[in-house]
Amino acid sequence: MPALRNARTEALRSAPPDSWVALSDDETHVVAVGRTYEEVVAASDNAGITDPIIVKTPVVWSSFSV
Amino acid sequence: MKYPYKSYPDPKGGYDWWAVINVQIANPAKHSPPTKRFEALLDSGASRCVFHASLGSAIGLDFQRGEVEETVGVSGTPTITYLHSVLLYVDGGIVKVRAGFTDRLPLGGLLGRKGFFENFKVTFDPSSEPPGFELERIHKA
Repeated sequence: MPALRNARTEALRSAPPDSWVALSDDETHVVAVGRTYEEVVAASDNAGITDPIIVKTPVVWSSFSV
Repeated sequence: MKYPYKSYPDPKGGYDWWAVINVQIANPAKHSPPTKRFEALLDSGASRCVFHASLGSAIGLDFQRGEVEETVGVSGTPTITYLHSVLLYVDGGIVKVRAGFTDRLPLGGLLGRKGFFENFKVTFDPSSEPPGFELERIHKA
C-alpha cells in the first residue's frame, strides 16, 4: 500500500498544475492530460483508456480549507 | 461501503490524506451519458455540492445560464456559482442534486450538505492506515 500511495502522490505531483489528468485504474500513473475535462477525456480515449479516473489539479498543492 | 482516504501531494514534498470518492454527474435534461469517474472531496462544511464548470460544459450545461448563487469560503472572498440540477452517481445510488458550478474551483468537485450529506450517512474512521470512511445511502420516508 505505501508503494501505491507514493506512486499516486508522485504521479499527481508531476502532473501539470491547474489541469485535468486521467489516472490509470490503479491510480499510479497519469495516462492523459488536458486543459479541460473534455480534452483529458479525448486524450484518454486516444490512449486506449476508456474508464480512467479524472482528477483536477490545483495551481499549487496546498492544504485545503474549503 | 468503506473507502480509504486518497493521498495527494502536500506543499512540503510529502503527502496528505483527503476524504475523496469517485463520482459521476449527468444532465437529466439532456439525457446525456454521465461523465467519466472523477474525484470529489467530501466537505461537510459546504452548504451544497459544487462542481467545476468544465464538467458542466461536458454534460451540455450552459453553466452561466444557471441561477446565480454567491458562496463564501474561509477566505471570505465571495465566489459566484451557477446552480443546475444534475444527477450525482455515487456507489450505492443516484441522487438528483441542485449543484453549483464555477470555473474557480481548484478541484473537480465538492460534495456538500445539500444533495450529498442529506442523502448519505458518512462515518469517518481515523484509526486505520490509511484512514477511511464508510458511506451508507439514507432512504428517507
